Amino acid sequence: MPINSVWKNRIWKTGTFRLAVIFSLIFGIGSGVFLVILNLTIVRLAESEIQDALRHQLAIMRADVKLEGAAALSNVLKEHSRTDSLGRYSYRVVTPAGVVFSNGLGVEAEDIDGAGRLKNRATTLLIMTERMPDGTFLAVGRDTMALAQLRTGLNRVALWGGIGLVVLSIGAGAVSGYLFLKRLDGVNDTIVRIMDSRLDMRIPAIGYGREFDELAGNLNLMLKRLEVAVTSLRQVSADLAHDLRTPLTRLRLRLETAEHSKPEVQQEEIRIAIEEIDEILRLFGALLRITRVESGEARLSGETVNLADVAREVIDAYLPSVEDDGHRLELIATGACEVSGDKRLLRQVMSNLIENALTHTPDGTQIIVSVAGGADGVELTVADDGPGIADDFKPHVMKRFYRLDASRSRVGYGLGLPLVAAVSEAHRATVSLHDNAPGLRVSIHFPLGMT
Amino acid sequence: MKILVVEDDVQTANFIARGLSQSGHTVDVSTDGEDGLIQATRTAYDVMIIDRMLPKCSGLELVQAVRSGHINTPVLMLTALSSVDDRVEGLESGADDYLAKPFAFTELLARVRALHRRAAAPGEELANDIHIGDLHFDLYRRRVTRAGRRIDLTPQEFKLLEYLVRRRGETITRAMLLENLWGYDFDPRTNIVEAHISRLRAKLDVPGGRPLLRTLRGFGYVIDDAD
Repeated sequence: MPINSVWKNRIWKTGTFRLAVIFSLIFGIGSGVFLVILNLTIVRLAESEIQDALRHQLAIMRADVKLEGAAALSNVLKEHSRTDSLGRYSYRVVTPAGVVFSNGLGVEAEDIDGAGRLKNRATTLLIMTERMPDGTFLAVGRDTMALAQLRTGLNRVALWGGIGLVVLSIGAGAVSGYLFLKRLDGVNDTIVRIMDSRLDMRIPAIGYGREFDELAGNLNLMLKRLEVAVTSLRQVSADLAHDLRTPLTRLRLRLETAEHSKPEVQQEEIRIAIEEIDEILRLFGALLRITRVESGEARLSGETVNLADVAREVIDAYLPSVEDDGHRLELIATGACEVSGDKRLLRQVMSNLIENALTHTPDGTQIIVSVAGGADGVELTVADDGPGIADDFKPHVMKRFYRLDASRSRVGYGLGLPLVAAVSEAHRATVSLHDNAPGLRVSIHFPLGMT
Repeated sequence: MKILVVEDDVQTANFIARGLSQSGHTVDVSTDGEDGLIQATRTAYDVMIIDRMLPKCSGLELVQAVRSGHINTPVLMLTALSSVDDRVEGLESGADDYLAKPFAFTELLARVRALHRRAAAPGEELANDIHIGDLHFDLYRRRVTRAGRRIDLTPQEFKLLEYLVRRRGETITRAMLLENLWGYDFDPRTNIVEAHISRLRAKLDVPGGRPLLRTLRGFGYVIDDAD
């Protein structure tokens, strides 16, 4: 398998490479235009320079003619042309007597009046002529060979420079495309591994600029959110597998026994079996609710909820049961107790906390629910003066199915506090357990942003 | 009562139908949304029981279609989903009550009866002066007397009694009380309903007298002066 050619094809298709090609095209066209303008400007400058020199030569010749006559000029020029090895200037002088001096300028020059140009065998001459009042004809020319050379040189530099730059930018495009691909391959590798159930992996920084790193950062945030949701779901399936098995086994045994019992026993066993099923469903419902809240599936309604009002309603509902149990229940509400959230979930939070206090404390225990609105938010506290929880166990009671005293029948499934924790987190509130000396105090702090 | 059951699980549909027939009702069963809509528009029913997830057309769509045809028959929606959001969605589509699976048949029956009574006698819930045997419930003056003897009730007890007397003779389940009186969409472990009921009963009943507020074991509560 020609992996190399695959790689090559991929590089040609990268955005970086395409950008490099487009930029080199734009650069080529741009430098072409620039070159043409430069060419014209330089030629014009050089020509006007030559013309100035020609004008200067003409002035010298004119002065010589006036001083010594045209014949003398011819002699000077003859002498001059013999020593002028460079031969940059060509002259033609025609005296009024018809004597001609020339070192290359032909009779055509006499057709030109003032400035002009003449095509010679090899080159183009710039010419300046003058007919003096005494009839002397003066002409001086200079070839533009140097100018043509300059022009050719410029063009050559521009052409090779341009080709070089285009090749360089295409090369750079290919290299940066390759580097970019390599970095993206790192990202892709991670994604493949994440798809392979490794949700704890994080995408490495792409490092190709701030925008790419921001992209990687946001993808990682998304992954974190997903990881929480998936972990929560995994936890639920594990919990279900583990904690539903016990009651289901009990139920199965009961029904098996009932099958061979007398009819009147059967009826009672079936009634108990139905109660057990209801218990299992309650557990199931509680677990599902925690999962929904944790995974963010249960959308908070975002209504304004007065925690003191909710506490009052919940206490009204519980008061008869609490008093029947020989407990006392009291509400203390101070300040503005409004938070933004979900009334039903918050109601369940309070119910769970009151039920916990109710089921884990002896008769005569006092339960105080307090809701206090302050400068930094609202604090909901449920405190009792019962036996409390030892510090060692405090971190565990928020875990699902954790029971402090499994021997008691009324302790529930160990899902009360986990739901409190899940709902609190969904409200961005923090739960803390304190020693009430004696007893337990559970506090939920709703920060100001949520009130 | 003539009842339509639209439920795609044949066994569930048959259990419901059998139970309702044994309670003296006439039952038609439909197993998909489209057929359900045809039946609902063709026959006048007293109550319809519609499952939320149906083949061909969902329960929500079916209820919307029925309502847009100006059929105001009370609808009890059944669902295997039970989150609060689903419940709200179900009620918004035009259903009158919502029951999560799995449910006790008695719960279903109590709710069907309640829906029917509400539709048949809508004014009854608004009455301010209700007499049940020798109990006189005067909402206007917020006063309750039994055999002329004044009974003092806490606001909670008054609210509970009002809910029951407005539904006299009807079975009221625990779940219905939790939902409607205390706004609970979950089942608390503590017997808060029982505690309230026993307090109310202690105030209403006189020793040796005939109990007015009866507990139907495994069903719920009923207030009536009949035997």
